[in-house]
Amino acid sequence: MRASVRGVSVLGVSACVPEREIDNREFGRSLYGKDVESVVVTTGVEKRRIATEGTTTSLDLCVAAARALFEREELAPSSLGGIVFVTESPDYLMPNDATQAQRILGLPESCFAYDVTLACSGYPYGLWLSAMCARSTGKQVLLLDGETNSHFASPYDKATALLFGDAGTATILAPDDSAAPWFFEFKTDGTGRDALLIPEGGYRNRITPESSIYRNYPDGGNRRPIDMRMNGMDVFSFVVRNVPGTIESLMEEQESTPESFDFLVLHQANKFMIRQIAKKLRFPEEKVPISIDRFGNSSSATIPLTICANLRDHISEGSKRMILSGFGAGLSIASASLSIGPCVCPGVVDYVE
Amino acid sequence: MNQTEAVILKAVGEILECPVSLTTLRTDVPEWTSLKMLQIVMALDELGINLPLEKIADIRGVSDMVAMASEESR
Repeated sequence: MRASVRGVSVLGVSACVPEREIDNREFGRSLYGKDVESVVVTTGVEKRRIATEGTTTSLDLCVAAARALFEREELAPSSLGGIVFVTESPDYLMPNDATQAQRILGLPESCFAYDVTLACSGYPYGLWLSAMCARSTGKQVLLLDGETNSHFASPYDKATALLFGDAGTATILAPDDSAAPWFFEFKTDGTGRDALLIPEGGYRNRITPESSIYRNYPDGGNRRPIDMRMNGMDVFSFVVRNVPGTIESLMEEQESTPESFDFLVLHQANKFMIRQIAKKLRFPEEKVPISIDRFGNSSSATIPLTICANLRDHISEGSKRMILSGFGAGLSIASASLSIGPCVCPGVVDYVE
Repeated sequence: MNQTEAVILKAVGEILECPVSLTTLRTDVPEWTSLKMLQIVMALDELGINLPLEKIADIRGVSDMVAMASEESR
């Protein structure tokens, strides 16, 4: 499904990660033994940042990212018309994180605030929704996007133990009649639900005393029912069969080629997969930033985190035309084509617990 | 046995750390997980043997890899 929004620009983007860094070669030694090196090379995740469960949440990380933006006097909570919060790891099942971000950040009570429950495809969706909100209200919108995936990835499940990191990000969008249109492409396949699933904790399978007990599963994983179950090959297959096509469609819509774009920022799911998708689309490596090596997979936050970690100087100084693509649980793909910059970009700040 | 078959057998055997043949299936080897499959694909890529990523999920065994590699090289 194609969509476009006209007249919006990004005023600022920032990211925040927990100060605590995990070295995967050390962390994975007891689970993988001598295979840990090959697992690190295969996934591309050498280090990742982890928040302490029960102490730091994606709300905390996103609020910190937003405060980094507000240190610049041209960006202020009082200017915001609303908050869109993308997360699959909210503080509570009720109320949502967006209303709590309004309270903590001191946004006007007149603002709107809602959460969006999406995993790895969440950031392009968040941009689309926030852009429409900015146009319809005529006000700036704060898009918060954060996850603490490490809290539902079992350290004893070889499929997921070394993959996930935690991060929070903040993006401020504003109405801008001079801005070039943004284009989006969406794809959804709900038949792939079981490829990435947390079986218990929702309302289909409520929490029981056994939900937090580790057990061995037929797929070889050792995890709790409240941990993520991932069929890596099904996810990989869906991504490589569908993501390139959505990006090609975005380029065709604009009669553009890879040469027309400065960067291709892909969800940081797997380093080899990113390189192969880029190769298939004929984007040179220097246009495809990688952050999974340092921060792991923080689900929907990986795209803005990668922008802040790798492209800070570029977007601080000038306008850069980018394609962004997020893909994962659902199964879901969302891709966006837009220009970002010049804008405020404090980069990646550490969250000290 | 041609060179492509030899390279694939060597790479698969090294990564799975067990003897394999052209008739070995994924179901024959418990250690042949999706992560190991990706390692095999990466290793072959570095050796110049490109398997189409969109068909990796369809690989049932070594012979499928040989067939795909042969088709890609045409």
